[in-house]
Amino acid sequence: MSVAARNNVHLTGRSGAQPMLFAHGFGCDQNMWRHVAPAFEDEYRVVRFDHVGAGGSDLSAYDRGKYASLQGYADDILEICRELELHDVIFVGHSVSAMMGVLAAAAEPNRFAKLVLVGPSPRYIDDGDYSGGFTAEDIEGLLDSLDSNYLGWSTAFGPVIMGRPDRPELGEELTNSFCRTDPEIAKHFAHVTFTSDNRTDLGRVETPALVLQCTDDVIAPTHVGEYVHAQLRNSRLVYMRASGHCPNLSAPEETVTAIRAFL
Amino acid sequence: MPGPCDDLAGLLEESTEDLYEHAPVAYASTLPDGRIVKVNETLLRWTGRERPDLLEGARLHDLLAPGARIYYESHYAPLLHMQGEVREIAVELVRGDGSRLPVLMSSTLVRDDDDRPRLVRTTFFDASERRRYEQELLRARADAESRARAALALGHVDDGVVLVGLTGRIEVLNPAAERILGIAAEDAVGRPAAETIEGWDLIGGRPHDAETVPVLRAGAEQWLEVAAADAGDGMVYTIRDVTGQRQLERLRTDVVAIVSHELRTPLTGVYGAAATLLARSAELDEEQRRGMLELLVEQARRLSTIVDQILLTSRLERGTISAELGEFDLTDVFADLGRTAAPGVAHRLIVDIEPGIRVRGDLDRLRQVLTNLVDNALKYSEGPVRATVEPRDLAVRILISDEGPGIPAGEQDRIFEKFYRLDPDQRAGVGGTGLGLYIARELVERMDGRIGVLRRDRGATFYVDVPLP
Repeated sequence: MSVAARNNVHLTGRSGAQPMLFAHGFGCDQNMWRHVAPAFEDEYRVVRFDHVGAGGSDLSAYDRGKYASLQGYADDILEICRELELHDVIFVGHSVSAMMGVLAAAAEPNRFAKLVLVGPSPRYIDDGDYSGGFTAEDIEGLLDSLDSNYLGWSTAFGPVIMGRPDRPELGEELTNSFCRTDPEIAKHFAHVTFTSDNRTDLGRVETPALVLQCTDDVIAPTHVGEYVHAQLRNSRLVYMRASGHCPNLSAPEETVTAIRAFL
Repeated sequence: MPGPCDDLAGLLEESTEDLYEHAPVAYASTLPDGRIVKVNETLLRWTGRERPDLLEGARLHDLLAPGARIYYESHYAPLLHMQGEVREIAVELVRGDGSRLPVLMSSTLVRDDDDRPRLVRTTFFDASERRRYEQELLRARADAESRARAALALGHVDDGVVLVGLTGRIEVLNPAAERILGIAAEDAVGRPAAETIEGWDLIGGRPHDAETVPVLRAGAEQWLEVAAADAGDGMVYTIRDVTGQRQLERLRTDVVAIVSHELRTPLTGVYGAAATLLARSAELDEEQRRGMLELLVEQARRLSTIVDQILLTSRLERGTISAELGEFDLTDVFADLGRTAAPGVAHRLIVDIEPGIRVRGDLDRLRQVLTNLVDNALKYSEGPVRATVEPRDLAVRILISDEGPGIPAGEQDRIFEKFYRLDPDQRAGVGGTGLGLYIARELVERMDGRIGVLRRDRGATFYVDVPLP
């Protein structure tokens, strides 16, 4: 199976133009970029994909050993770049994918022109003086939430989507993949994400980076965004008016503007 | 003066407000960024918060436990944005005292005419009871899965396992127990063991290590090795069928007894005759001496036959005997039969077979088989023994009939078993190793023939089917 099929890669935008690679975070899939990515299609080659285990990716490629750390996902990003022969890549990563982009750029600096990190956090759990915002028990609570909503993946989300005659374009796509995945994979991904610690990797990257920091983001608090900015050698920090953890959905215009200004 | 309708309208308006505030469901309205703009009393009561405290900048996720907050931000909020609606997601609210309240959270996103998100209406159902049930359900499922695995293992063990409850009723009976005890679990489970399992008086009882007990099952003797263990609210019986082992043991004992008896009798004869000849040679006249020598020869011949049978049996078992198939006339088989039969009885054999019937087989082996059948017939019968033939499909049936006591119906198949004897205690005075018919069957089968015994009112009739060329 090709890497493109494995990761459900979708290509849009100007062919031959500089590539923008959009990586989704913990939770849903490439649909997270539905209001942001199209804004760049006139000027760039837009590449969207699903991490293995999410969305329309090949679930059979999910290998608990490979994906036991974020490096496994970073390797996938590099494989996508190689297979599609992407160079001078503008990497846009949301949430945990921001750190996957950092790892990929540290491994192959020449591949990447710029990094856009939306709501990054190199470590979610508090550690000594470092405050990630969560305790180990909080992460257990998240795993419990995933467990409790085990049935919810198919029953609670599915029928709602089916009943959206006003937005038929969402229908098929969402029922099949949107935010749904194998609950065991979701739990493993959650565990890997929220127990990761990539603070030392930030210093390995010289690629120019943009850190987009939302207001009142409980997953990636402001001081964590500032920490990321301080640790990266060549970064710019932009505080957004948008609140929450998903400005790509809640404030797509502001997100697009901020990225465009950086590019 | 207000009419009854106005009264009802007022009442309804009041009760609608009352319902909103005090319904057993918590309500919150928020702006798209999560800031709370309206809540009901129930939510305040559940969270132990004050209204102004919530309406002055608090966000919906502030009410959630930290783990649920991540779930809300990473799954719930994006879904709400994209779908406009999310239903019954299990999260936890934090109560005033810091404890958690499991709730089911549902939200609807309200958009304006330009499709811009304006407001989110969220409801929380108290799911403590439901969560308890769910947890019980999960435990029950894990329990059931583990039981299913145990049942799978129990279904594949070789030993029979029977669980009998305190009331004496069968609760579990695994497939091996079904096989060993000859009963179906569906007929046995729920019924008293004593009434259901034959020989339960021997099997059941107090806890004990493995014991071997004989049980009569369907008229046949069955030996069971039974261990019983106290399982607290019942007894677990482990049952193994050791009938085969038991039979082997008995066979081994029988073989030693039969062989030693069979060898001892002619040996005694040989010894007696030789000793007499040696000690009293001078006193004996010619006729007496000849009698002694004939006795010697006869007993030595008998000894040699027994030893031959034992050796042949061992070779048959090792598979080193094969038939040399050829074509011959049936009368050739009988040509020497009278002579090889024991002296003094040859005249009782009446061979009623015409020359010219050709068959395919091993001439020497077939002669050996028929000699054995004729010897047996002469041994058991005082009267004449007849050898006749009958045509069959693709074979010729040779019949050896006598007028002896015959073979009891239940034994007709068993007489071809190794060491099987009609008269194990040798009360009738007719000896034998119990190997003759076994050897005969083995040899006939190696010639693609068949051997058997026919049901007769009187006497015994053995047949051998020999293939046509």
